[in-house]
Amino acid sequence: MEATRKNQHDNLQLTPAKLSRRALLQTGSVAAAGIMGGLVGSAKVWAAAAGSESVLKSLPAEVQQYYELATTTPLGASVYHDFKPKKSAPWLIGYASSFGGNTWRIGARTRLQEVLLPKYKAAGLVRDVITTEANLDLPKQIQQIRQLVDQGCDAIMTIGAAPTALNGVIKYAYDHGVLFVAIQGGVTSPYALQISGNYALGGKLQGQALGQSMGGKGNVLIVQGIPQAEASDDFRRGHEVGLKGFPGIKVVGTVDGSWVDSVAKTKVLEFLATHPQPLHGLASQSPGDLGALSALQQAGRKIVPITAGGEMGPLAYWRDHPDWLKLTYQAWPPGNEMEEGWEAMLRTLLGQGPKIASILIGPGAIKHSDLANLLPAGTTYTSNEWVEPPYQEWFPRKTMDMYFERPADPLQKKG
Amino acid sequence: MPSTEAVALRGINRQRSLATPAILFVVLLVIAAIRGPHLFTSDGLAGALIGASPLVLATLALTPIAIAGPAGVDLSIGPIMTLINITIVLGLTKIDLTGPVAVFACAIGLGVLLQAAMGTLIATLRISTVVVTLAVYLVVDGSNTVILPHSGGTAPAWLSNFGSASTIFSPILYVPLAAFVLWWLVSRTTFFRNIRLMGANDRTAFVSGISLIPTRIGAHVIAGVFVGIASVMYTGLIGSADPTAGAPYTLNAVTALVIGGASLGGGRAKGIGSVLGAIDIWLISYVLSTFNFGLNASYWTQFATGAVLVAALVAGAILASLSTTRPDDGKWLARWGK
Repeated sequence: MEATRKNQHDNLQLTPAKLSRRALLQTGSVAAAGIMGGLVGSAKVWAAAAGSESVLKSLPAEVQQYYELATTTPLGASVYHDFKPKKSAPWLIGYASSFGGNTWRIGARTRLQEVLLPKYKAAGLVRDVITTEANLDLPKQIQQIRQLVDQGCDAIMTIGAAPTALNGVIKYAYDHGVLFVAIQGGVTSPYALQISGNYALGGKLQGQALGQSMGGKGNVLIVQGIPQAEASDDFRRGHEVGLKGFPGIKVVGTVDGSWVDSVAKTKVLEFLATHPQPLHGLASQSPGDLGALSALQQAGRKIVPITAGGEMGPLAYWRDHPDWLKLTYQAWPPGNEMEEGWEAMLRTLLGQGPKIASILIGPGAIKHSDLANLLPAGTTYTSNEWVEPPYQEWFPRKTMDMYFERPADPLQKKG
Repeated sequence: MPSTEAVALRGINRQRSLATPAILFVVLLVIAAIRGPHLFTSDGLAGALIGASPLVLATLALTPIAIAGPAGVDLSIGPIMTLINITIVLGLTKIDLTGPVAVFACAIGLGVLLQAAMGTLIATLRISTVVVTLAVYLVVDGSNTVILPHSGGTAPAWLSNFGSASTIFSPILYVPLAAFVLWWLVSRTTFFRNIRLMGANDRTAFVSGISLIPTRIGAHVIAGVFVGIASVMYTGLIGSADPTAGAPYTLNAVTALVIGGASLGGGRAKGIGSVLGAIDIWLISYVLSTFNFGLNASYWTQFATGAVLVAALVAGAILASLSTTRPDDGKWLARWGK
């Protein structure tokens, strides 16, 4: 996946030569970053920069490219740069999820409970994980997070229900010495350590790949996730940016798939029933690709290209129909997104010092030749499990190291 | 002269509708004390106040409409709270009116205006409360998303500080207290008694000289005042504007109203019952969050919430039937005493 992530920049028109030019243009910034690098030992410098001025240019150029199209994400120095937990390991972790009712959340939770917790318990780093879920009730999630702080959690991971509404309770956690990590990003508070894929960039690359698969012309239906969710808006924005590069492509409608395949299927079927004009592509958000594919099948329409973003069903269709797509991108494999958030949290608890408030990672390209390895035998067009590249390919340790001041393998060092 | 037993029984009957929320409150409080004792610290109580206040005040807002009956269930409250939240965060900030007086005046004014409009439709056209408020729910909910496609903005600093409050001796206590005092005063007026009489039997109220249309509209106006205060507390909780996050208050407030002993047929509902019902709903969520349900947290939480609510309502119905099937007041109580 790392290899394909490097290759993806050809599609981004960021060829190695152009990247080099960009690096040269950034020489001044890099020099400034070098000076700053000499000062990073001083907590005062980081405290002054925390939450305000962007420190993006102080990161290695290799990871700076993952921040393209990021708009609302805080890019100041992390307030947890010099964080020390109140207690020594093993730590009590809180996981406050906004809801748990789709395949993505199930994949993320499963990795947490069945892989990460046992492994880090055995390493003596984690005592337990307390899980809460708010069923998309924002006031309830605020109450649950506050309760996790009061219950003595040393760190809280969350997938927020809204980008700004949690800011008060995030500050409450910070004031009480609790590390607050927002996996899947999506909050505007500088008092959170955010880590996620760059979904806008993922959407852009998916849109470009869809345009190529459509031959650069035709009508597209956008199937978004939950409209008010930051990640959903990022994907949609990215899809629109990616498709803009094809003058022959016209967006003829947008429906809300709510990140649930059955909802996406219903909404696409409604659209197909009321819009008889030809449709040549669907820019969908996983989970929702499978619903979109299923709707086309049920309506008896031609199976036009879909931005297959990670659910196995559409990728299985591509496996059997090689000409269906030219390329696709995965921006948020659930288990790996959970693991990257978990690793960033443990590294911060261990005092490794995150450099920036928001850690972003670029999407991974999937080519047809990858499918034989990615899809288990027996995967059908209706499989709703997610493709999960090996974690060390998705987010290599050396890449994670670039975001931390004092990097080390968290499992090699016990607090 | 009535016997002391009969007087006592009347007292019990008067408070009958409070038995369920009060018992549930005590049980939940005991479980909370065992499972999450942090609730009883200054931090914990501050969290409870800011977390529960919007629901408590929203349920209080539904109470006069429920009393006015028949089937006086206001479904629009969630989206209306959201609309007021958006107005405070985006509208008032834009014109630089962010002081407490302006915020409360705007919130209460908007709440009263919308409720008065609904009350007028319901009273003059004699359309069911549920139908009108459902229509308003849909219109306002849709409008909210059009006005504000996704969450953002920042509440005035004094208000957004509510969300990270660590002590109860702050506005997060004073605002609900002032609202309770206001409720206490309003509920003792002749006008409020007229609402009760109209809700119990509108024909009797009419022949008693009560003008039904202004009385029904008045019930909505009172509701509007408390919707406004609830919206301010809700804005303090989330510290920003969100186009959809207020919607769950509709279902939660109606549930709290029913647990609080309100009769949706009209005429019978108490402010204290509504407050207890809303606190019970918040406590159920608090207590459940102290259990670690692991991988299936959401399903177990939903199941447990539903089970507690059903148990509470069944217990309430049994209590009610026990007291209505008595042979007669004094003898029943005397036998029960022996």
